Formats: sequence, C-alpha cells, structure tokens
Amino acid sequence: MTFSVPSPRLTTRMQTRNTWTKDVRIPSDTEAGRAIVEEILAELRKRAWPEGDIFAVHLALEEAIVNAIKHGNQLDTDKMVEFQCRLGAEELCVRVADEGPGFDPNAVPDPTLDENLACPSGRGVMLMRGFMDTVEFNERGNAVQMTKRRSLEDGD
Amino acid sequence: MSNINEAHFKVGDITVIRFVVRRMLSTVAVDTRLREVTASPPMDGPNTVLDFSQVEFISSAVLNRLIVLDRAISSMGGKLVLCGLSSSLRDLFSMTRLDQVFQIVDDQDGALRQFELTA
Repeated sequence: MTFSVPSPRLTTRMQTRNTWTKDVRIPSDTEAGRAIVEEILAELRKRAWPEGDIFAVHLALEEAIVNAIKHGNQLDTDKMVEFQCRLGAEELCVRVADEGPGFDPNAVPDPTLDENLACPSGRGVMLMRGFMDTVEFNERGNAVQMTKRRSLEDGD
Repeated sequence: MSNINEAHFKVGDITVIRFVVRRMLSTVAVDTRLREVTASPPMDGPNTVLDFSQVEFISSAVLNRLIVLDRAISSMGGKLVLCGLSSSLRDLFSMTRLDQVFQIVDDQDGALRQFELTA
C-alpha cells in the first residue's frame, strides 16, 4: 500500500508536546468506528475547536467510516479498519484505511449535477472533499487521508 | 408511529415530526415515516413537516433517505417540508445542492404556511 506522506508543516506540529495522537485498528463494525470518532470529537471540543469545524470533521469521518466498513470491507468483521489520527494546535490529520480492493474516487459521479441531484447515494466523497481542507486517496483507493485546519472562529 | 427520539403531532392533514435527538446517524426515523405513507393502505396522509431544530448533525445516509421520502410523498400528491435547520445543516444542504430538491424554511410556522399556499 502507498500512503501520502504528511506535509512538513504537519510533521513539525507532530513534534510539539500539544499533539494528540490516536492509532488504532478496529473490526469492521460501525459502532466501533463511531466510538473512535467520538473520541476524536471529544478531543476537538476539549481544545475548544469551533462548532463548525467539529461538524465538518464529524461528517467527513462518518463518511470515511461507512466507506471503509461497508463499501471497503463489505462488513466482514475479519477485516480491519485502521485509524491514524494526529491533532495539533491548529490542524487535524486523519487517515482511514480498509482491507478492501479500493475504488477510484474520481469515477464517482458528481452528485451535484442536475441529473444526479435526486439520486439517493454517492455523496460521501463529495462531502469529505467539501468539508475538509485536503482529502487524498491512495493509489489503490482503500485509504483516505484528510486534514482540517482550525478556523479562527465559527463562520470562517 | 412515534419513538422517544421524536415528537409527533397533527395539524389538519399534516403530520409534524420534531426530532429530539442531537445526532441523527440512523435512518430509522425517516424509514418509519416512509413506511407510514407508503403502506397499503397508507397509515397516514403524505403531507409532512420534519423539524430539525434540536438536531445538530445528520449523516449522509439520513440525507439519502430523505430524498427517498420526498420522492414517495411527491408521488402521492403530498408535500415534504423541512424546517429548523442549523447553519451547519443548511451548509450541508447547500453544498450538496439538496436545498434545491427540498422545501426548507426557518421554523414550523413557516413550514405549515407552505401547505396553505397550495391549499
């Protein structure tokens, strides 16, 4: 598997003592995934991140979990999902990887086109890209790395 | 049908459902309403107001089921109106352009007026 390398900026932050990290492998169970998400959100709240940012991270992580567990690992509890999270003073970086065959995120139809608006699926990747600052998939398409920079205040 | 995460009441032939849950991750509530209006014979009339004023977060799975519910209600000649969306939820509907699919108003009074306009 090939994963993108954290930016130098992020690497610098990872060296500060205020960085919170969470690396964990969980079975393909959405409740287990949501427990990790809750932990990340709780840490954001503890650091008084703006509610708009917390909403964005929550939405993106929820989508990443569903993609990994349902679409990637096909709910196979023998397959694992890997979370890597780095939270610094001003930036959150999360990587979620599954053991599935991967997919081509660029092949997902744009759900905001008129002809797709009423389609009741296919918004996950778009929501991750819309609410996070960077979203990168690995070549195989079974891992996504996302970053969110802390806004100055709600509404920024 | 109601559960502890919702408050239901009727205004004429309109069913108003106020979700009393901060995070809607599950589609159960929307699916329940879908079953009510699509049952044969229907358990309830199709006109529906969904009040999200106490909801801080919804998943895209819920969004997707709302589209299905909207389609079902429209096909029965009814109307679905959403109200009470927070600024974050408004952003979500705007970003997905679903604000052009759903009728979205500020509050329950405004939602009920949408039905008067077409009465």
